[in-house]
Amino acid sequence: MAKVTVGYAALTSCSGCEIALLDVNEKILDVLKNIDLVYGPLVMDAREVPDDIDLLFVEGSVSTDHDLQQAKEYRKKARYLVAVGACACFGGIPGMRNFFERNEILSEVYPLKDQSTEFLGPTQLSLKVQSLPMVVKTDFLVPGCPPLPENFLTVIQNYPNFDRIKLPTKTLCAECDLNKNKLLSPIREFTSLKIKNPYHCNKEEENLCFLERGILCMGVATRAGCGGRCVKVSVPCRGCFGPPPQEGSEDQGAGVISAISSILPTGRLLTKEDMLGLVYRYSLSVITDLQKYSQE
Amino acid sequence: MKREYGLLLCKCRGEIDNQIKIDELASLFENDPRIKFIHISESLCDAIERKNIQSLLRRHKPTGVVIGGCSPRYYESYFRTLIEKAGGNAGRLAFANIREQIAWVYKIESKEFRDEKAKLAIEVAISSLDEAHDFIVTNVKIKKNIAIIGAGIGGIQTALSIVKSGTDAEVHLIEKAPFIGGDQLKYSKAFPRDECSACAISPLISEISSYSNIKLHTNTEIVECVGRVGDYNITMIKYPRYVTESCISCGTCNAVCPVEVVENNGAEVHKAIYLPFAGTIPNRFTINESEINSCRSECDQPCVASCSHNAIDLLAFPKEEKLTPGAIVIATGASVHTLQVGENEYGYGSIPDVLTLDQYEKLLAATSKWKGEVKLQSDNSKSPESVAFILCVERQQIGYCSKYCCLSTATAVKQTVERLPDAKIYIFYQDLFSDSKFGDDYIKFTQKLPNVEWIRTTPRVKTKKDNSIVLDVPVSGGRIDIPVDMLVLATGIVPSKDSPMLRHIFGLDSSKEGFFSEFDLLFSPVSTNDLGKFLVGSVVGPRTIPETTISAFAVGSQILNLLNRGRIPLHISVTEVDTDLCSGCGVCVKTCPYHANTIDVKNKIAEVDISRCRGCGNCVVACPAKARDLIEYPELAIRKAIDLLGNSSLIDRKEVNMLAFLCNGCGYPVADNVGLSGAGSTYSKNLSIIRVPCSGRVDPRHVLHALTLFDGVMAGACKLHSCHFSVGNFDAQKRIFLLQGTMDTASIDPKRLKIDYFAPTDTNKFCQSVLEFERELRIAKETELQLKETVETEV
Repeated sequence: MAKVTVGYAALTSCSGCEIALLDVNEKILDVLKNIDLVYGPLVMDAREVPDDIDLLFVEGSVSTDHDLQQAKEYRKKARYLVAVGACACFGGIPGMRNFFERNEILSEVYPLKDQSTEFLGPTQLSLKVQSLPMVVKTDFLVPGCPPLPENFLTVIQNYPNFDRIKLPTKTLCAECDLNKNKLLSPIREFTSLKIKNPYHCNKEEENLCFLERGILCMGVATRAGCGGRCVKVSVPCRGCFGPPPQEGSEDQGAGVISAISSILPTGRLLTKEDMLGLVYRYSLSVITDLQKYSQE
Repeated sequence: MKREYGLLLCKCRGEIDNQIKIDELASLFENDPRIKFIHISESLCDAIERKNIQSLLRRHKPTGVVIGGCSPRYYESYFRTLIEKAGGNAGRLAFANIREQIAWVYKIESKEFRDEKAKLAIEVAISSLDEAHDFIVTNVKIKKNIAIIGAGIGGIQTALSIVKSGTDAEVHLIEKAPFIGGDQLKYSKAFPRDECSACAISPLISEISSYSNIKLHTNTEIVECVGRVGDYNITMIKYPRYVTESCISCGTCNAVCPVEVVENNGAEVHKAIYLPFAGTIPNRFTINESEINSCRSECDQPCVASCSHNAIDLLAFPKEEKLTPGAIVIATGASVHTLQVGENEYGYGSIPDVLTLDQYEKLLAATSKWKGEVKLQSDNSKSPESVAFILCVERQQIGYCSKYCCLSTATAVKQTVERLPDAKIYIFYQDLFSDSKFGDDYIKFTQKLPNVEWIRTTPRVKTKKDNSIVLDVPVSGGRIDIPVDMLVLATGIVPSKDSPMLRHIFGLDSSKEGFFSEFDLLFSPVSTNDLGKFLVGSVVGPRTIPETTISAFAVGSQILNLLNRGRIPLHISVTEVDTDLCSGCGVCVKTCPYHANTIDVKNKIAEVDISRCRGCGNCVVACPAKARDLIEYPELAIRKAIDLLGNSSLIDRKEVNMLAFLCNGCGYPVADNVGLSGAGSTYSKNLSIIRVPCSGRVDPRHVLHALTLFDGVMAGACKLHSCHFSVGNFDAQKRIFLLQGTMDTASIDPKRLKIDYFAPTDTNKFCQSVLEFERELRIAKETELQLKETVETEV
């Protein structure tokens, strides 16, 4: 049997996901006998994605005209297209640009240039950042910022029957081992009157659920799968695995807002936290579609 | 399965037909593949129509029924029963409210608009049927076992009213004190007949022993309660009374006991081993838990030696016991507000002759150390020559009128006059309150007694070093000093000090004062948020003996009702938790005001106690994984409704379009009532309405989705503190507030989201609110469009 040709391409991103792929380390040897790595900017010297490729991993969000063009080209070239990382899957960090008008962004970055005439790079920023599945059909999503290295292997090993991969359907709380006390008691009181940061917490609280400590943790509205790698080391979840799978819960931020309103003091949350940047850090929001009054 | 629905349209005797041509409306749906049959009626709710509808349902066997007519508030349950009787599922019913919210309210709009709007309403109703869940009813068996916590008058009356029905159910009367009868038993006399309390209550108490199915548990405290209606599990600790059942209450031990115990700041004095008075139940001596250690170690125990029945066992220890009652009655009563010794302005605690009314009444009792007279506390050989009473003591701190002090003081005054005919008596009051048909006469009678003066003022107490009492009384033109021998302070009623713990154990709600809250003050004043727990007597606030008795009988009948039915049907309002999605985060536990959710910690799955669930949907919104749904208002139906309403041909993108989520408690009825109130009152035709059970069901995810289709979204809730589901509107308020704040950061006008609170009759306020919302949105929209234009022209 011929080896599966595998490539790794990037749109607007930080290349962190590709580094995660490299973090597979020696385990790559387990799959290398079955695959043939043909494209990957950090690992090899090929200039172009070959025309006929079996499996193409794509990281990064679609945020320029060039990205859009590239994404469509990749789709044409690849038999199976897999979105890698929070940016490709849900819009990711670049997606937060959608909270601003494009002009605002440009005048912030290039304050002295006349945007209408001067050269601002080889490509135009698109109006709104989009995720890969929003512009082309994707065959599988590997979420995370960055993804778990093992997940790359899982995808390669299950090629081309990705539906064999069993995805977690629960939220991060299922994988988190922190203790819950107040959240399990039905008394209707806030779990904490203060909104805190992890460094405000003392030693005794170390094993306590973040929401009970007064720290906003996105774990309640984030899909499981990462194994709780942040919460294990006392860092609250920021939601890089995206929203839970159930239809209707796509908007991660609104899900958190629904959930925490009766758990933490809302007024303090608004003054102490950047709610918008926190709840929509990795996933695009419906909010960004609202800015303009209906399309006239 | 292909779904085929029946469409029932009502002309409402012209009320609808004059505005919307029902026949034309019906013809629009004739060729709809989802509709199996259409039935047009002059008036669907008529008795004659009943048979027609039933035969139609039997013949066509539709999988769902859409009714176009009046508001679902009137005939929803009627039609659900009809469908059920015809063999369908009651959940397969949807209403299009074309009378109140279209025909009546849009009389001034064009006919085409009304027709179009009615068509849309029916389409929304049909699409909601596609997503409807089946209604499920389960039967819960009621265990023939009742636990009554607190054996005061309320508890005893409840127990008696249950057993007197002849039921064979066991009634467990659980009392913390060593004797039953409650606080009133210790008082000298009871208003209004001036009966000696012990004499009045004793027959009631002794009646208990004639029923073998009443089980007494004295010296017993509850530590845990789990389970649900019909099947609770109570854990209680039985403290020993250190006197076994062989006691015949001869009193030998009491005579030889060397220890004197002083309680209640000197008002109650007894030996360490004691019986408050002859004929208590249980009629056995006891030693208080507080004394037992000194009895064991510091005394040579003459009582043990003197007892010829070997009934004294000083080494007994507490035992844990379990009970599995089907229903629980909480009748733990209330306490009298106690003044802080050294921190009150009356010298209470430092001057021996300053007493509280509670102490005074107990001292007046024949069994007290005064032995039927009135003695000075500072010198037990003398009687006072003047006594002053002050009413409403520390009422400001308590914050409410206990409606007990005035009459209780009058009772005490009457007894004082009887015992000390020559003594001068002053009563200082602010308000007189007599909540009884005898009350006024009773107080008037004491006002006419010789040597008794009722003075409407608040005196100040001057404390002297020699412990004499001088009252500084303001009079017209100055102040005068009145020296008195004894001062009695009437304080109010406060929740008992155990109530926070009981509240926690039984999962009850409480008012801000700390009394337990009734489920519905007006129509179920003895029920709680749990179907199997009831409240009797002063646990809900100060109550007189007759009121307590009435509540006891009410609870008795409620419990007999439960017992008679044996099983009760429970309508399940929420779907089962999807175990694939739920990860036990605990958000639902914290959100539910009825304490219906628990987390199975081992499997990290939420569990819903269907007997506690009332179907408000607050948890459905709170659940970040959407692992559950409401049966009556399915998630998908709401989402489809938003899409249908937002994409309809009625939406004019040049206008401002609004969507309102109105709660079934007040928001939806007030919109109905706008039409009902007739002439001229109307709200904007750009308003679309979606009914939700409670504003707590307004989901930020829906709101955001709706904002992509509408210019503004509004939530109509009940007034704060009047939510039909306890706290739904507070939660809605918090969610909307947080969402507005988040939108604001993203430079989206937070005014596009609004929550307002209504009573069902606030029709004007509702119209105003919608009007104002529309105006604000219009201004915002125009400014934004202008801004965009200028930016574009500049570019």
